[in-house]
Amino acid sequence: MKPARWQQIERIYHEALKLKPDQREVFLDQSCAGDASLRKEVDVLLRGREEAGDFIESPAIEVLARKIAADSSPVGESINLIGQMISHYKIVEEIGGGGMGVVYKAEDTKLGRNVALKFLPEELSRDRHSVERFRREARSASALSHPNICTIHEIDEHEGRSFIAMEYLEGQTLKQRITGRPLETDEILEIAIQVISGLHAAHSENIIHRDLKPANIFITKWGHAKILDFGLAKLLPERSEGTDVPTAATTRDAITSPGIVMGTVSYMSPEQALGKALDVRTDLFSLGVVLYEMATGVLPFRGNTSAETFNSILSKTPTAPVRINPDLPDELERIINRALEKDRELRFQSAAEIQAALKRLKRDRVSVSTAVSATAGAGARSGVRRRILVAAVIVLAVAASLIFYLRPGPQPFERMEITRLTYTGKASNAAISPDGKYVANVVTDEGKSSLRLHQIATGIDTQILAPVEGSLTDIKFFRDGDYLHYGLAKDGICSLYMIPILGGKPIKWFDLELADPLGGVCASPGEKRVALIRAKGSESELVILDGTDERRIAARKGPERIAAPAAWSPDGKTIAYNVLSYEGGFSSSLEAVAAEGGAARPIGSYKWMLLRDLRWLPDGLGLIAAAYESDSKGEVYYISYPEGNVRKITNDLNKYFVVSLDGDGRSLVAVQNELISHIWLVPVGDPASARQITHGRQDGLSGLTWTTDGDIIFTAPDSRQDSQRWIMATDGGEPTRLTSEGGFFNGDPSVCGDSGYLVYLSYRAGTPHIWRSRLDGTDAKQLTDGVGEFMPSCSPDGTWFTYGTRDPEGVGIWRMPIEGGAPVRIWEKYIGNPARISHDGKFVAIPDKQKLMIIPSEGGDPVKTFDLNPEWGSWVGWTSDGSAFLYEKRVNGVSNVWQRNLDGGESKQLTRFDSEIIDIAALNVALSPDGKYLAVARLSNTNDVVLIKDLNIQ
Amino acid sequence: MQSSAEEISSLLHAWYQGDRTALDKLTPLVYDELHRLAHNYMRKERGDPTLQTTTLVNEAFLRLVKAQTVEWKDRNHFYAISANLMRRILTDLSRSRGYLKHGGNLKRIPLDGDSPVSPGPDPDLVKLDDALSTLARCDPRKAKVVELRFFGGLSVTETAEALEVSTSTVDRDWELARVWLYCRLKNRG
Repeated sequence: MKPARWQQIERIYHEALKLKPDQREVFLDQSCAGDASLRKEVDVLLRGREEAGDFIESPAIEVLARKIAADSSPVGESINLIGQMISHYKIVEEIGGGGMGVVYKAEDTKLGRNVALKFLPEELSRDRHSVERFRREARSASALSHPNICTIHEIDEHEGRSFIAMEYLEGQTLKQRITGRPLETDEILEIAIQVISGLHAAHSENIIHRDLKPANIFITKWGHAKILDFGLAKLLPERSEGTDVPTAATTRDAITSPGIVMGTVSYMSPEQALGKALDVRTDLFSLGVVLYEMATGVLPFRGNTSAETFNSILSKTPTAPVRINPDLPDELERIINRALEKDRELRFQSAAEIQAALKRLKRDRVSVSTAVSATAGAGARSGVRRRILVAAVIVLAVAASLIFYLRPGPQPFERMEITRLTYTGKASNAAISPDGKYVANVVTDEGKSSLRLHQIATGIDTQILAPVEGSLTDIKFFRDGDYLHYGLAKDGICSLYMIPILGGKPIKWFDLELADPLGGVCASPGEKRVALIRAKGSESELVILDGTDERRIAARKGPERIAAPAAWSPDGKTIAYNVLSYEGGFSSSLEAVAAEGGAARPIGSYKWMLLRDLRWLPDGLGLIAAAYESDSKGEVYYISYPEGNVRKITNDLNKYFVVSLDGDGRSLVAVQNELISHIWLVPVGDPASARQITHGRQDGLSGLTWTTDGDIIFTAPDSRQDSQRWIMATDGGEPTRLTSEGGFFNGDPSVCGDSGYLVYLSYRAGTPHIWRSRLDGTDAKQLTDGVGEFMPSCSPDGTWFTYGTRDPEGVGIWRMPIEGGAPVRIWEKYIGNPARISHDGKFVAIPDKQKLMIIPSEGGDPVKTFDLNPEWGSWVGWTSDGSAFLYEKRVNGVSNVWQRNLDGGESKQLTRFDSEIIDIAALNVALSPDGKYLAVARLSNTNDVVLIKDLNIQ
Repeated sequence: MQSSAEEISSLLHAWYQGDRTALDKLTPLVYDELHRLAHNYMRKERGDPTLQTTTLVNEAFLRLVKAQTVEWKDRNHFYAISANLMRRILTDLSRSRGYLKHGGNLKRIPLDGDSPVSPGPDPDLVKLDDALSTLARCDPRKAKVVELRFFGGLSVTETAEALEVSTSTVDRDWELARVWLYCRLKNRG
């Protein structure tokens, strides 16, 4: 568009906006006289304006976050199935999930053995064609009985969901085994020969795998390789159809949806990428990719998007494996290259052929070692000896893990007691003294951090460092606990200080550039050396500085990087540190390296989402870590060393992110993030008489509502902690529990007048829908069945309710009779806050970001519209006479409820809460039907230091 | 999560001072932040209202810019490049959103995660990025306003400062640019 034209459009558009809608027509006719296309463009914009709603009004990061939230599967399914009987299988636990559905460990009650149950994803279960194909494929795969193929016991159906019962395996997938590093050649050969043996058996039956990749190859704890998911890959939409007719479209879909199929496209053969007909040779190419990855630790064909990866598969020659792993035998490189031939005619033609090549290589390697040994005079039996040696190593490894389980005496922190030490709510770091008597803690407020010393016995807390800008890291007691060491990170520089705990000036002993946010410093036990983690571009490293020298002892490149935290072993000989990978999601694992240098080795194979803190036990036989398993779950873990067996020390509703151990390893401190919610009753017009009426842990966190009798029904977590039950609080007495254990999430209750029913949001069916039940939870009935409904609100006469939906085709507010029936859409724009029904049931108030609209409860144009002040927080409801509305306003971190008349005038403050760390949650305010009381669920979200004492060791 | 905002601040600072690798390093932090937010939304949907939706990234921008101790020779320039950086990171993350997902769910695979019906209320960032580039060709200032406000999360006043124009100009630009982008995305799907 030409700038002049654009300016013209802009001018007319803005002028039209100043006019009332009914005057615009005339104005546009005049302004655009004779220029029909100009008129049309302005019209399109003006119409677009009506529809645009909140379009891009919230920042991009929030928009993307909402999409991710909408994409993530809700809680429910896995919780629902655990403990249930499916046919004659009793579900024990969830052991995995992925594109092809969720996998559970289950007990076969007939045969008394463990099995793995794999469910076809619900979406595919609905498609008859898919189910048929699933069964057909699974049946043919079940005919395969081979030690290197995971055995399928049975294919069946449960409540419309098809599932496969198969061999239960213990161990890890090859994907978990590889973790970015080359495997030993002997191990590569061992695994490859077994996998090909399984492939060969399948190919002889004309069954192609199509999705061979490390995630589909399982290594049992006895060292057997087993191929998983035979034939199932055919079901994935981006794959070619069963008839093997060329389907270019499927590949195009994969290319135009970047990232979606990432992870699997990397192992596709060129013919698969092109959507051509497939034969067994496609599996041999994928096997070549797996071989390459085992040999080098990296993928041969890479790209940031699937399209780039496809391009690489189709046209690029991968980096020669031996350049990445110089120890690789030339012959193995030749085998890999031949398997990766883009023209399948030039590739290995059968599994048998590649099998023979690998077996020859294996035999020759043994002969080479025999020959070498022979010259050393060891004789011809050393080949055998070598095998014995390998076996011995395996036995040792097994023995080592048995010792871990049989280690006499209790493990650290198996029985323990947690005590809270601080109450500021703003702790960000902590360390316990070697004698276990003092806890240094950092309080961070508005970007400034201060250091305090807490005496456990007396509870006396003294400030030893006044608030400073920046964050305080690496806090440790040293020199018998007389000094405290800390790092101050500010403006990309980390300075290390020590300060006498009895008071005095801090002494700086180290200044480091640390512009890298994932990096960190860590002083050695003798504070002579510093371990520093830093990164440049895609390279990250762990270096040791001793004042004059700098020595690199570990490094990583690519999607994996070395990141903080790190910890020196008590003897100063080993450093354990975090390896953070952000390929396919964030994951952290542990590694150790000798401070003198040498090969780094993993400490077990456990993966967390994010490792936050790490300390060694004083005996050097284990580590304690604070780590996040997911965004909401952060616990303290014990990790045995060197085996790397992992056990959770904490397991509760709180989140932990710092750990520190005392000198004998019997006490630890951690910073705990806690979320608490209590319900307060506030008389309207008398905020000073507000009082707390519940004392549970998270009362009303997921919603509250009044009954017509003046009782309050609110949510409270049950023993499953992620699910909710109803509790009734009556004025004066103890709250009464109304419902038994739920087992699934319920929230947003809204009482339906005198009918004795309430409507609420429930994940009982796996996805969020609106349900109805009696107040005591009985007679529960699912009312809606869409893509995902939320925010129910019941009419005062209890005969109908409103709700919002996530369904893009049905955005807005819907109304439905309480007995069920066809819903009617009464508002067609997206809103983020709940709609509320007026006391007389005639109107529904719909809050937008800028406007509050009152519409007839049958739907239609707003009868009244009010501008909302952007400074107000969320809109929370209206008064019973409908003359005013309530909103939440947050000042200095404290939320209060205000009331404003629809006719205008001054706002009135209904609550006068003032404690600093407590917020009122928008959804959780409700006015009593008589308008006399306000029930408010108040939340506190705090970080405080807790002491965890090991009760095992006296 | 105080430290995340600080991490982002220090990284932005480093990046501003010429550390070209900061983009790679910021991405995982933004990713982290995204997940934190996404999780909050999920909780909110389930009736858990504990969240503040102010984003750490925006908070970090502001904290950094407002910090008296930091020397900002050219604060407006910083606003501009930060917003541009966020645009690049978020668009890239959006582009590879399969990578952001936990677990698989086939139903959501076919399209780029977007509603096939309408672009509202939440647009596809990749498409928005494209449309914004188109807008920049004919009206660079409006495109800049959208970049600062939508990607950078800046307020009207901050945007006006960064572009050295009046707030009413920002309001007018935003009004038209937003609607134009909406129409563009709607028509081109």
